[in-house]
Amino acid sequence: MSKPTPAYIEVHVFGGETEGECIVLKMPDGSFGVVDSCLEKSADGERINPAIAFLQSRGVSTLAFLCLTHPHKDHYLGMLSLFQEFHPRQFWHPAAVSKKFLQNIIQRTKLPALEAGAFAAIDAADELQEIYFAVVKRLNDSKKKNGKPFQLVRVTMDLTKSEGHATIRAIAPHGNDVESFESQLATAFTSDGVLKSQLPAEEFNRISVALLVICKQFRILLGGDVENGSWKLIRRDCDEQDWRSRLYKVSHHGSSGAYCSELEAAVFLSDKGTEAVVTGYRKSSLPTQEVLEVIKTLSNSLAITHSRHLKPKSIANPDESRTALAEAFSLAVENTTESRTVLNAVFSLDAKRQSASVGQCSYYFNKRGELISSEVVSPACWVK
Amino acid sequence: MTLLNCSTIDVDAADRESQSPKYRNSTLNQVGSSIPSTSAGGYRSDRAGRTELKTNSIDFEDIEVVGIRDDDYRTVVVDAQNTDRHVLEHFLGQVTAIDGNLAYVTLIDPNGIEIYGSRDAATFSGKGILLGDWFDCDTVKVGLQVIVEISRRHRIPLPEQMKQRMADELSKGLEGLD
Repeated sequence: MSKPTPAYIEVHVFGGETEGECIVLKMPDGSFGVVDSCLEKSADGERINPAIAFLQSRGVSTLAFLCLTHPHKDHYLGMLSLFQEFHPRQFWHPAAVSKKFLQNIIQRTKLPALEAGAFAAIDAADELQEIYFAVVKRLNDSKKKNGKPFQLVRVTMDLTKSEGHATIRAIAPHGNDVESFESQLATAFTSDGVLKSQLPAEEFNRISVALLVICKQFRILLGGDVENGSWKLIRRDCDEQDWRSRLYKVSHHGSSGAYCSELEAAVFLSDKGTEAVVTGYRKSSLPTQEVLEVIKTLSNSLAITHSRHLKPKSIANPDESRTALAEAFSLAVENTTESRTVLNAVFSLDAKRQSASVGQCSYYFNKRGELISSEVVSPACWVK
Repeated sequence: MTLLNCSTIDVDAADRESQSPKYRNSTLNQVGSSIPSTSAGGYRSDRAGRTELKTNSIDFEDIEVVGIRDDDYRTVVVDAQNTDRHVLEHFLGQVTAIDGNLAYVTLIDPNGIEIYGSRDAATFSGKGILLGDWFDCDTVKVGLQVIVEISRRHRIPLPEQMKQRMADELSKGLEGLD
């Protein structure tokens, strides 16, 4: 990608074919921060974090901050390598994440998966464990003054940080959501501290961090995975009420729960001056067409990190087994040419691996908040 | 052959009782022999490249027909002795989300490639497969028909000692976190 005119602030949103999002911010002072992380298969089948090569290409050696909005794997896979490679000075995470919380979700993911022989699921839980082991080690080293300064930041609504000549304000999670989540967590343990029940994974979005990057003349909103009920709460109670943004990373992959009417007036500039970007989540068929339509009408442009999220789920190269599967699980079937089918068979190619699986949407703003340039790197695309 | 809508076809209890003798999991080995060596998706391979599911065997009573590829709907009672019965593919599945009446599932093939789909949640809840649970999914050729079978994945409890060791490791690694 050609290097554009130096921008006051840059936002680069990466996202994969199946799931995941990673947002790289270049702050006005030239420092870099990263929000969330994703991991996808490269053309040769390796699992890579696209932000690493990007940051290396920009000569970055240290991150000002690394933020985990919430502990779902589509937001943390690949974060360990980011943490180890770029030694962030601060690690931000939701206020509700505690030692007990991590014990609960890691053990309760790993144990059933081990018992069922579902080894693929164990890797994800292991990575979350390793991320926090690394974070805790840095924290303990820092306390003992034998490591680089390091700060663990528990994020809740209205937390404000000055970063790189801008202000970053957390507008989520709401304290009520954090409290109710913590109550739920308390019931998951016996008085002896023994785990007795599992926290429902879908509840984690209630504690998702959302960040408002405030520059003097404009704002950028990174919505995390905040959903409808939480949006209403924080819209009502957040001290910071000016959310009108030049760029909005649509929350929760453009699900129906990610959008509520309150957001329309709150986030989108009245002159269609807002750029919007959405990341997909293929497992749940996100984004929804309805939300895309609404966002499109409200924004100047709408980009998606992978074009495949705009297509229905499908199975390529169908044989009789895959055709039956498609019927049973509501999948469309992609017809492939006879030549390509033979090629795939001979060289053991997976259709998905024939193209890059991580897309990138980049935005460059000047000091006044004017968009200098924006570009999408395939398989990311504009939503027309 | 025309592919018709797949609908859940429950083999009722009486039918299940009539299916004897008990069917052990040999069909999984049939498909396993053609699967490349991999450690993804719950598979482990031996040196000869044969792949077997690292799980306990599955009783035939657990297997129910959920889809049928045929000219009309009917309950299919799969005869374990039927030599025409071949497992075409095996997948490890998980119910990853439930939205109203719809269950979103991930199927992992022996190469670790994930396929995402959805189906009515009742199909799974009726088999005791709940949100987050793992299940086995086979496409099976029976005569000229191809059917999809779903069964709850049996769990082999880990030894208490191992659980304790995992808990201790976790607790120690997180020491210092509030």
